[in-house]
Amino acid sequence: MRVRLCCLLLVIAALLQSTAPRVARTQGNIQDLVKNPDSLRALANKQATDSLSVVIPRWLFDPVYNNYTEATLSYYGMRNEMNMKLVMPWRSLVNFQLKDDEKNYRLQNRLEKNKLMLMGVVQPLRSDVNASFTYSDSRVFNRSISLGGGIQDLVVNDLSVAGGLNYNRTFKDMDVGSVRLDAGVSASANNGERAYKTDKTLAGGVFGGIEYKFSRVTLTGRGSYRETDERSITALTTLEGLGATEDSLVAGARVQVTDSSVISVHHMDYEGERLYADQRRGSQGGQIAGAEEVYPEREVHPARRTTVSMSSRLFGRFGFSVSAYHEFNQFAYDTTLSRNSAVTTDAFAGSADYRAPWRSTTATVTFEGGTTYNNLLPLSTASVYDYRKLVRVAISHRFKPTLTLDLNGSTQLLQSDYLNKAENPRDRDQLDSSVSARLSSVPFSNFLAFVSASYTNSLFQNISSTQSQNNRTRELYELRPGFSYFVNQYLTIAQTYGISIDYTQYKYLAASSQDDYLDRNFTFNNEFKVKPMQKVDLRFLYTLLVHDKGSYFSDVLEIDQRDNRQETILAVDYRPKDEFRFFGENTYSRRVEEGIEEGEDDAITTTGSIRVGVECNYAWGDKGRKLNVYCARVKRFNPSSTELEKNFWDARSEFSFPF
Amino acid sequence: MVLVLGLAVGGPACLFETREDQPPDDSSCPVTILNTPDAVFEAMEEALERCQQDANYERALSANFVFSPTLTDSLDQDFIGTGAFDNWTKEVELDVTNSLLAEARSLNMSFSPSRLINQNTFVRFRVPYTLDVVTKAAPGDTAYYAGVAEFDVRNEGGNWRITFWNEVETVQGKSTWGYLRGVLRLRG
Repeated sequence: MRVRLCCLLLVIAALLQSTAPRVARTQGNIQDLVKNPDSLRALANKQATDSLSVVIPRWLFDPVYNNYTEATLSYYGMRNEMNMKLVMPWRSLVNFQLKDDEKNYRLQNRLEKNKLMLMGVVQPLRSDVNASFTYSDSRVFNRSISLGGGIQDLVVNDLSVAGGLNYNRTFKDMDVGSVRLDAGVSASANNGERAYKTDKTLAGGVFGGIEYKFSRVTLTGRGSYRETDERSITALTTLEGLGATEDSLVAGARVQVTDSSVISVHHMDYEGERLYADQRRGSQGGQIAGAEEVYPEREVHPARRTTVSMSSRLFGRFGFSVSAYHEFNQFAYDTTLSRNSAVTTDAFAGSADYRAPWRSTTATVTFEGGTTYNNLLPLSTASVYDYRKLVRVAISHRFKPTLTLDLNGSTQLLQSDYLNKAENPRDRDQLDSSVSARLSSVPFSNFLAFVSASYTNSLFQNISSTQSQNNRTRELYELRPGFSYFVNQYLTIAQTYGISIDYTQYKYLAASSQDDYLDRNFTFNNEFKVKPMQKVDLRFLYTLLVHDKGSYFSDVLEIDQRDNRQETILAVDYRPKDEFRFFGENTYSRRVEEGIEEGEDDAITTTGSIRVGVECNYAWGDKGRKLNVYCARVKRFNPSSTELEKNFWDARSEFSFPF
Repeated sequence: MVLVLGLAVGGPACLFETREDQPPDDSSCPVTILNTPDAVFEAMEEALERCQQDANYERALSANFVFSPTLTDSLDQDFIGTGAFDNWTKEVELDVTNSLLAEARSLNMSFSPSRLINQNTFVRFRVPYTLDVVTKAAPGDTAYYAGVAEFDVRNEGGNWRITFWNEVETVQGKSTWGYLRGVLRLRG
C-alpha cells in the first residue's frame, strides 16, 4: 500500500513538475513586452517558441492615453488614442485600442476622419499552443468639395472578427538533428462598406512549416491554404458566390559545404484565384461613377520563383558570391483583358572582393544581368523584352590613416526589344558608363578636406528610323572640392564648391528638333556654425548657383539662358533649459535670369521667410509620461504664393500619459 | 588599378555593344503608338496637323470604319439627293482626307474627348472638336469648322482604332467637319 501510495505521489509530483510554470529566466520580459503596443502576439509567440514560462502577476493593467495635434500650412488636426493592455492571472493578454483622427485642410475644401476600435486577446493554452481573437472596427470618411461645389465622399468602413490557433515548437538535441515545427488555423468574418457597395466576407485558412537541421544541412518547407466566401451588395444588384482560394508552397535547402562556403536553393510557388466585385475607371471607379460601374471579375494569379545562390571565402583576403533566379508572375482576368500581364524574369548577380596583402587596398567587382519579358497580350502592343547588363568596380586605397582614395567605375547596358515592331517601334538602347574618384584627407585633427571628380557618358539610342531623330550622347563632367574646419569649440566652417559641365550631342542633328548644347553649373556653399555661449547656437549658410546653357557647335557657344541664384539662411537657437528652446530662422533667395537678347531686361525673383517659435520637450515620472510642443509663426514672401501661404502658424504637440 | 577601372568603364566590347540604329527617315512621320483609346486623337493630330500625311490617320481607322453626318448636314440642300454620305467606308474616308491634305496649306485641330462608355475593349467618346483650314488657293483666309461627334474606339489586336465617327451636334455659326467631308466627296 505504501509502495502504491509512494508511486502515486511520485506520478502526481511528476505531473505537477511537467505542468507547473517554471521560474522565469527574465522577470522583466513581460513588463517590457506589455509596454510595446504589438507585444501581445509577440509575447505569446515568444512563450510558445522558447517554451518560456514567466511568473504572471495576478493582474496587470497598463492604460496609456496619447494626444497629438498638428497645424501646418496645408492642414490642422488632432488625433486621440487610448491604448489599454491587460494581463490576467490565467495568462490572457488583452489589448484594447481606441483611435480618433481628424484633419481639416486649409488650402482646399477637404475633411478627413478616421476612427478605429480594436480588441485583441491572446490566450496561451500550452507552452507551444496559443489561441487568439481579434475584433476590429475601422471607419474612414473623407469629404472633398471641388471649386464648383461638387461633393466627393470616400467611405471605407470595415468591421471584422478573426480567430486563430497557433502551434510553434522546437525539438532540440535530438539524435537526428533539430526540428522546428509551426502550424495554425485561422478564420475571420469581415463586413466592408464603401460608398457604392458592401462586401461581406468569410475566410478560413491553415498554414504550417517545418525546419529540419542536421549536420551541415538545413531544410525548410512551408505551406498554406486560404479560402474566402464573399458577397457584394450594391444599390443595383447583389453579386453572390464571390470568393477566392490561395495556396502557397515554399521549400528551401541550405548546405554548409565547407566552413567558408554555403550553397542554398529556394523555391516558392503560389496560386491564387479570386472572383470579386471590381470597378471600372480605375480603383476609384465606383466611388466616382456609382454602382453601375461595379461588375464581377475573375483574377488568376500564379507566381513562382526559384533562387540558387552560393557564397564562399576561398581564403582570408578573397571571397565571392553568385546568385541566379527565375521568376514568373502572372495576372489574368476574364473581363478586363487590358490588365493581363505575365512577367518572366531570369537574372543573375555576383560579386568578388579582394584585400591586398598590404591591407590598405581593397577592391570589389560586381556584375549583374538579366532578361525580363513583359507579356501584355492580347490587348496591348507594348509586350517587350528588357535586357540588362552591369559591371561595377570599386577600389579603395588608404595611403596613410589620414589620406584615402576611392575609385569607382561602372558600365551598364539597358536594351528594350518590342514584340510588335510595326505598331510599336520603340526598341531602344541606353549605355551608361561612369568613373569617379574621391580623395579624402585629414591633414590636421580639426580639418577635413576632400575632392571628388567624376565623368559620366550616356548613350540614348532609338533603333527605328521613325524614332531615331533625337538619338544622342550626353557627357557629364563634375568636380567637387570641399572642406570642414573645426576652428574651436565656438566656430565651425564648412565650404563646398562644385563645377558640372553637361554636353549633349545629337547624332542626327539635321533631323533633330534640338541643338547640341552645353549646360554649365557652378555652386558654392559656405556654412558657419557659431556657439558664442553655452546655450546659444548660430548658423549662417550662403549658397550661390551660377548657371548658363546654350547651343554648342564647332567650339562656339551661343548662350541662350544665363541665371544665378543666391540663398542665405540665418538661424539662431537659444536653449535656456535642456527641455526648452527658442528659435528663429530667416531665409532669403534671389534669382536673376539675365536678359540675353538686346534690350531684354533681367528677370529677378526674390523669396524669403521668417520663422520664430518655441519648442518644449518635457518628460516626467518613470512611466514615460511626456509633453512635446512645437509652435512657430511663419511669414513668407513669394510672388507666386497665396495670402494663406504667406502668413500661418506651424504647430504640433504630443502628449502621452501612461496611467 | 587604373586598368581594372578602365575595363569596367570600357567594358568588354562584345558584352556592351549597342545595336545599330536606323538613320531617321525624313519622309516618314513618327509612328503614334495606339496603346490607349485616347491615342487615336494624337494620331489624327500627328497625321493631319503636323505631318500632313495620312499614314498615322490610316492606322487610327479600323477596317470597319463608318462615318455618319448630323441630321442637319444630311438634309442640307447641298447634299439632298447626291448620296454624298452613302456607304462611307475607310476607303472613302482616306480619299476625302487625301483631298483635304492636297488642298490645304495648313490644318489646325483640337479634340476635347470625354468618355461616355468605358468597357474592356470598347470606348465611346463624346468629342467637341474644331478644325481650322488654310487652303493653298487662299492662304490669307482661314475656314473654321466645329462640331460635336461621338467616336467609337475598339481594341483590335492591341491597337485602339476608330470604328465609328458619328457627328451628333452642330455649333452655332460654324460648319461641321462632316459638312466639309460631303463637299470634298462631291468634288471627287
